Amino acid sequence: MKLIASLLLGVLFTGCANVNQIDRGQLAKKFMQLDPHPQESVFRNEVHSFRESAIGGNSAVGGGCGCN
Amino acid sequence: MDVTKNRIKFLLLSLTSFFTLIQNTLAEMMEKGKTKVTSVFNFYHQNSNNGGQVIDNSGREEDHVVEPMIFIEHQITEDTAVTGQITFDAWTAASDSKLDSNTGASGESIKTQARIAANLGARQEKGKWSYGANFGFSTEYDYQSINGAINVSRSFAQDNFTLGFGLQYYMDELSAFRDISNPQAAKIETGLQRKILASSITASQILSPIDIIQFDFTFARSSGFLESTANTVNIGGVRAVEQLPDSRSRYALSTKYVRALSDISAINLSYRYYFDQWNVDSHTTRLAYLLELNDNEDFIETFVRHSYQSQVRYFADQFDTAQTFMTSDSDMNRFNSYETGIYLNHNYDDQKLFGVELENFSWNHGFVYYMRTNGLRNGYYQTSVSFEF
Repeated sequence: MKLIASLLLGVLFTGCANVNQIDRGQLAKKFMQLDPHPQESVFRNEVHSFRESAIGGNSAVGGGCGCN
Repeated sequence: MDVTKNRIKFLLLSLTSFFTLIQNTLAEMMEKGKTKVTSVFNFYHQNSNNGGQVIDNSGREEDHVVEPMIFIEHQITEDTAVTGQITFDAWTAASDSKLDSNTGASGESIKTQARIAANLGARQEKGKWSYGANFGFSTEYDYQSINGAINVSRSFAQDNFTLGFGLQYYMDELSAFRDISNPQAAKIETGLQRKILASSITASQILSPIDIIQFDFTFARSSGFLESTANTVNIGGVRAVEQLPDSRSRYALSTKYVRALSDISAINLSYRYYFDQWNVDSHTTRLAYLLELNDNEDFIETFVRHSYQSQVRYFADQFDTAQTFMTSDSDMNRFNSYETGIYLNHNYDDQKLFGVELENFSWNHGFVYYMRTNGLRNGYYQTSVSFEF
């Protein structure tokens, strides 16, 4: 929780200057995506939601007899 | 309960403050008429000898899964795309086969199971707004589901900030043994209802030309029959089916941060905090390092992940007397889990297949290994092919 709060404060104090479209070349690269393997993540999230009690914060929230 | 309320208040307050300050990019649409196809094959194996829920006291939780998936997206107009997903699973699970062989009246053998699931949806962009909806079903031996989802997002500040909201609803029907006091005469009960409503708020912000951050808050409430088909408990040496409450509210707050270390490398760091009505707390951290290998944008990703979860309130390895709620499911125990893996993304020049030009052709491979401190280990290999035409 402290980490979350720190990140929130970090964002708050560093400010959020707009980045122009033309300056987003690095961010547009495949390896820079928030989820660089979105289709593979579907199965990975299923495994986590079945083998761990915690769900949410990803796309797998329901379905499957292993997910109470 | 007060502690739970205070946590919710803190999360909501944090999010409210955050959303007023920060501002992501909408998912890119393809050219009109284009179709993107991705197929993923998943090969999964797990093993453990510590599953207290297994009916024959062996603890074996061996499981093999083969799961092919196909994702299709077709751009019907400049701002509208339709999406589809088909998943097929086949698996053998030791806990299923032991349940089958220890309950004489279960009917047909369930030693090998299969599931088929499909999903159809649409996505549209109107100016700074993006809307999506999908509808799906899933069916297998002891579980059927109909589900739907809607989501909406809006970009702000020249697409530097995106705020999204999603809603998912599952109507599930399960089959399970409710009474195994006379195992050989036990009959599986059908038509058990489970409903899940999940909502999420997601916000992402471009911080600079080299980093981006995302926050997500998810609330999910499950109600109805929440026990698992094959789970039992040991009460003074006698096996009985697990008993769980008929509702569970779950909360998760997660954040992800991606930062370029150089023109060809980056870190992808994520953290998630989770808690629920059954007294589970969980902290999950994942760190990935990504390295671009050439001008073709091939890249490699290596990652490590750690998760800690506390034990479900109703969990015990075994019980002296019957309780209103009781489970020995190893997934609900307290444990630390460690995971590591590597992914390789390889992009090819445009290909031609049966006279059709295939663009953005890529072939990915992934190996993941996972272990928990309560004995379970799993590993899987994923391979996917993706192209547009």
